[in-house]
Amino acid sequence: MTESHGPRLPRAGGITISDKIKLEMAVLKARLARLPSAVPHSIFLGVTSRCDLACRHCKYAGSGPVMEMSGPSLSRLLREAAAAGIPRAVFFGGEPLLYRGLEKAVAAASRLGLFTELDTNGQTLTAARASALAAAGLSSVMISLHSHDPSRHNALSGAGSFERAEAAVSAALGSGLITYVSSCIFGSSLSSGGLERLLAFAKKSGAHGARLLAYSPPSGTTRLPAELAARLRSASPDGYARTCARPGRGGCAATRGEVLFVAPDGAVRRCPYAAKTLGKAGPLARFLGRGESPARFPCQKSPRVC
Amino acid sequence: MAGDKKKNSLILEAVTWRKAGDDAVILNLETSEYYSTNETGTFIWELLSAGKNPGSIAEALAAEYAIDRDQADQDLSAFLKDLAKLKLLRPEAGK
Repeated sequence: MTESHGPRLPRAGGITISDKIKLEMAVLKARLARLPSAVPHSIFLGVTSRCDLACRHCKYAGSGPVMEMSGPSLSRLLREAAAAGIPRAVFFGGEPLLYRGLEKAVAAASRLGLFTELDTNGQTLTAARASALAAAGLSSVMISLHSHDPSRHNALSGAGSFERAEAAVSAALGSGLITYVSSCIFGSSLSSGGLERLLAFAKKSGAHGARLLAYSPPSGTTRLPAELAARLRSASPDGYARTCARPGRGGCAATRGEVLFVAPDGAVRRCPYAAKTLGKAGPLARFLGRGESPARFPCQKSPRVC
Repeated sequence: MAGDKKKNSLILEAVTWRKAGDDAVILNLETSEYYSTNETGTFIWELLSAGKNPGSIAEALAAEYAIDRDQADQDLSAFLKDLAKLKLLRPEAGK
């Protein structure tokens, strides 16, 4: 009448995850273990297109009009996601900390039984804000840090951004949140040993893990997602660092239908970085169970190379 | 929200839980190991958390699932032994 789910919950660097969040994590893992294949693991909610950084590698930087997701739309999406059995809601941007009513939305998601996660650049994630979000029901936060080297990170994201992101990691950990360093990885990181130095830095900071995304060029294709996935086998055999892609032709979380993204204007895509829009608005159920070919990364315009 | 737990419950202090659909997800905070129950297990776990003793739980189990009392006693005893072995219940629950 009981079933063990094997791996223990993350513990790192002597940093304590609050008991409440440990339980949320256990519930998430138990639900993921039994999730039907047609149901995504996560819904990414692009609540705003605004951002307080203009990172050089960001596909959204400086593009398009400012868009905000309306409160009623966000509430509806959360209700539909919970009703569909999607276990995790990820608040995404732009920069989601700029979204008015974020704490309220997190609380609503938490009441619906969703595991709630924030994907942020961390620039305004103070200790007080992290505590307020944790109190609202936030379980986990991913904070962008693209290099262990402040000068390299700041060259991409702007002066002082490394220091603010580093402080945000401390603030999140101090609030008992599950905390990940989130990094965009370039080809040079693999050739120069930067990846390994980044992971060492993340561990030293006390972060519970690292979530890595291979840089996807605006046009054309790259083998980098699969190369990064292959490299993590040796660079992170303990699973501390993860990426959405699998080695070889294993595809990514989006091609497996594990992720769904809704932009502030209601456009639905397979993931936040997917080139193609599946449709706009309407019931979320329309877009469930529609994974693309595992041979394609939807963040790349051409399906040829993966 | 974590499930409540009466002080006289057989559930150990370091154990917390939450209902997720028909399942109960049970977490030992000391070891970080966690388990989920099926519907019957959840039925029993909720009664344990309410501080019910094994006798009254077996009675409720027999009534809920239309089985005879001996069968309910046997099933419950095996389940409690498992939970005690997993260090989710006080040792006396498994005896």
